[in-house]
Amino acid sequence: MSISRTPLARARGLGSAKSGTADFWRQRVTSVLGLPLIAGAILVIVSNIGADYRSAIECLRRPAVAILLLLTILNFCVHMRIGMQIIIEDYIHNETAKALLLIANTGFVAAAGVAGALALVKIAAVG
Amino acid sequence: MTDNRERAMDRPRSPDLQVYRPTLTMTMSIAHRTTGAALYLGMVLFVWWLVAAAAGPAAYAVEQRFMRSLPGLIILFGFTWAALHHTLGGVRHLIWDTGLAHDYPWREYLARATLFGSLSLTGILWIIGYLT
Ligand code: HEM
Repeated sequence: MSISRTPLARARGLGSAKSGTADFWRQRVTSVLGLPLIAGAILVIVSNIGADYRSAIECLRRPAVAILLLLTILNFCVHMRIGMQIIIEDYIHNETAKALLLIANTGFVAAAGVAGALALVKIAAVG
Repeated sequence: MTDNRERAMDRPRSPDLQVYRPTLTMTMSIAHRTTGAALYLGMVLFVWWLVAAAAGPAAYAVEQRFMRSLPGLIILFGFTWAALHHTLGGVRHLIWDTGLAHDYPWREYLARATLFGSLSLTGILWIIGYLT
């Protein structure tokens, strides 16, 4: 990126993602909100190491645990999608490849998020 | 004119990995990105656990058998460290975002605190997990 561009020209171009600072801000918000969430999620995961099927279900179906893990998944799906998008934009400069990878990124995150959320809802509802 | 421009293009542009001596802060920057990407892929494991539990005892048993195998345990251990390292590294980024600790010696202190913090927390967590 040429340093001879004026700040106004840069602002008009809105940077490499063409979306200004919205994603930058969202990345910070999900980082801050992520702190209590990841602490809680790690506790749930560690306390379930080696747990048998019934005790894992008993843990996961408790409303507090289900809500915590749903929020964790939602928060980090936003965070990891933006993070991976930044990595792709940094290294992939072929426009076609970049577009395909960005689509794959969105697809991967959506699939992981929906699968995880649906599993939690199913466990909470029917065990 | 053309000459000048060509000469300008030839010069190494900063930051260039082959010109700079590796530093701790640089390594930590790479580690933050690497752990972020590893956690991205590691999300598959977390979702696998939830989906297996939702699917029933048979699917859960398959997931547990993998997680308790040696490769599974190694991946889980790496995932724990990556999560803690990236989280502490993220806090470091958030501190920088407020304008603090960009200068020597605080940036070095923060880099070391992140590394020692993530390693010792991973150790503590696994000792607790192993004992209980
Ligand atoms: C509370 C925990 C976390 C915090 C505080 C945090 C914080 C951050 C911050 C501040 C950045 C931006 C770094 C920069 O500007 O260069 C970042 C990048 C990133 N994060 Fe996180 N993060 C957390 C958890 C996660 C998790 C769980 C994942 C994946 C599932 C993840 C994936 C990523 C990725 C892929 C990037 C992009 C890496 C890069 O640009 O170098 N993060 N994180």
